[in-house]
Amino acid sequence: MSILEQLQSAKSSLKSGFAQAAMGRAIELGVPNKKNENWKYTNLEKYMPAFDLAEQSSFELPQAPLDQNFTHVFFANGELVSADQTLKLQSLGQDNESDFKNVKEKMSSLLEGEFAFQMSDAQDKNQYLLEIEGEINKPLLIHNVYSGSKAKHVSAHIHVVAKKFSKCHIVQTHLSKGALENFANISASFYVEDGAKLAHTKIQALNHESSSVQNIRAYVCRDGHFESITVDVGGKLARNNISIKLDAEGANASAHGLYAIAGEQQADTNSLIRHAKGHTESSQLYKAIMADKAYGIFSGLIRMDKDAQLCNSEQLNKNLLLSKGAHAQSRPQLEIFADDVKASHGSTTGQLSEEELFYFQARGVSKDKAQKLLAQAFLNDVLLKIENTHIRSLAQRIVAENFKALDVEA
Amino acid sequence: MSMLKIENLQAKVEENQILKGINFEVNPGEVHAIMGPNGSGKSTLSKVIAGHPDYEVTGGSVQFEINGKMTDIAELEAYERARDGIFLGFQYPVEIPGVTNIGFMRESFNALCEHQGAELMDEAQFREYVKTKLPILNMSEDFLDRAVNEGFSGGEKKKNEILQMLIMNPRLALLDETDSGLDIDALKTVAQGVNSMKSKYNSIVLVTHYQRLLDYIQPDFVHVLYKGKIIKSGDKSLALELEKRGYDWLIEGAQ
Repeated sequence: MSILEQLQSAKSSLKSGFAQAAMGRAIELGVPNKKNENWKYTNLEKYMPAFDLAEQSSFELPQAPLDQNFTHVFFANGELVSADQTLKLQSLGQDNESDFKNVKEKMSSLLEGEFAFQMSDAQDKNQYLLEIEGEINKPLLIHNVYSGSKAKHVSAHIHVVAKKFSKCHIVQTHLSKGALENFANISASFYVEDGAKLAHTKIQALNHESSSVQNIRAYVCRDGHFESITVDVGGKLARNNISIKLDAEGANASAHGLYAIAGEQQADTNSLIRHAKGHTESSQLYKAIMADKAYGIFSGLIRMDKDAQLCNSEQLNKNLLLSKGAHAQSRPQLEIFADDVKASHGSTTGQLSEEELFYFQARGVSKDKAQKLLAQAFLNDVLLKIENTHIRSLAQRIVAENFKALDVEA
Repeated sequence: MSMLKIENLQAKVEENQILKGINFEVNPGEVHAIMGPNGSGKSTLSKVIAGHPDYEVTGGSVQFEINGKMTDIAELEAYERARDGIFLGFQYPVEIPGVTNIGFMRESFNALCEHQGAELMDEAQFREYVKTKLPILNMSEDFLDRAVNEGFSGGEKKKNEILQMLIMNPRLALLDETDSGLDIDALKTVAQGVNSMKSKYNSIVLVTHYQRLLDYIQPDFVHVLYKGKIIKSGDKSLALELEKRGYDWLIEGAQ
């Protein structure tokens, strides 16, 4: 049975009309292939196991005391298992969404043509709403753990509404429990109201049998700030679909990211930042290190609508190849319909500079150590954009633990 | 025993033979100046001694005193030479975005300490140590926290080289055109830094295009390099004569 036939049969057993509609849309779109501009370099089907939704695994909370610098939430195979009581986090059914309908509608065009995004809505469960009110200074750590007895699909969608003038740092980790294959397709939608500030960091370190798609959508209102940082060090495939709309004056967004991958890993980010109104700003820095035969892809479009005058945008993609078998694709793109804007973009792909390596060596530092230090410096550019120091140290630790190509004897 | 002994040294980069048989010897405590017109091989000589991988030694030898023994260093990597006490001051110091100056210097300093079996310094100790060297070069502490050479002026870069030298305290310092691009005040400061390191145990080889630097750092010997060979050696009066007469009178004699 082809994957679309599998989805067709799954659709008939869905209860919610909303989930059925999403599944219908996903089937209509089909699994993207290389004819799709946004999937030019990655064959998704190759990474998808047969469609079989994972059950909630028996998940036990970690024995060790939790890091008190964070407020913790745990999801196992996409299902909420534990959350700090102080949070306004609820499971979404069909009925309790009246207030929320408006938000959903405003965001409906974001990633609507993306198969994986529709799939994350095409189920009766694993839909959540988190509301942020006021200034929350302790960062929120959402643990996503994946496990299972055979190859499974895991889908979930968390909607976050940052109320007016609220402030919050959210970090989502994606980790495998065990070495089994999973396909994690996770969506996170952010509605940032007037004057709110929301920072989201994704840190993905799945085992190398598993693959993940992370869909990130953000709708930013007047004077709202949204920041997304994706950190990918794990997975056979790591794909990020990012779509951000700046829809009122003073709205500001950044979408940064890094990959540090090796072996036969592939990481692919496709992003759209749309300036729909004037006086909006965005910035984007994607940096990737590829060792062995790893393949890194970045494709990012900045779009400025006709009425989006006096906008500012900068975008940069830098790739570092540590071996001959590694490669990179880079497509920074601008589409500007307004006539008075500032936009810069650029891309570089290269190896470590011989001159920099020699400078270290002339100062007594071995070539291996110099490579490690230069690679760390390369990634630090992105890691230093993580404003919250607890989140930053967590990201630094997970990168160091997972990217062994940097692990040389001192 | 001498510190450095170079015999009939020949070296090429890509297919260009640049050094064509160099002989000279440096004893502990001596200051040597290597002068010569552009393209004579001055910079190449210092890079070959430091072990730059782009240069291939095609003949002759470079011997350096390590643990009381004259040792042929041809097979040693650049970092091994540095750990054994050879310092190269770069003509064009390299910018390294993302690495702080103090972090860079501490990596270097601790690599040397480890090699010598000395105790490593943590960040706070090292900062205190570096701070004792800053006044010699009229440098402020904020240089330490900037990325290595990034956005530094020409003079600041050269001062930063000398600061690294003072911290590593090498036995042999090869200073490649450390005076180029410096105004007179910066030149004096840099010279003051170099002079502060001079002792009967250290040797300095200055590679320079101009005599001007030698007004502030007195050489014991001056060598003139032309087309990959030393065509004349003398004491510091040779530098003064070159200043007055240029190189032509020597070049004509050499041809």
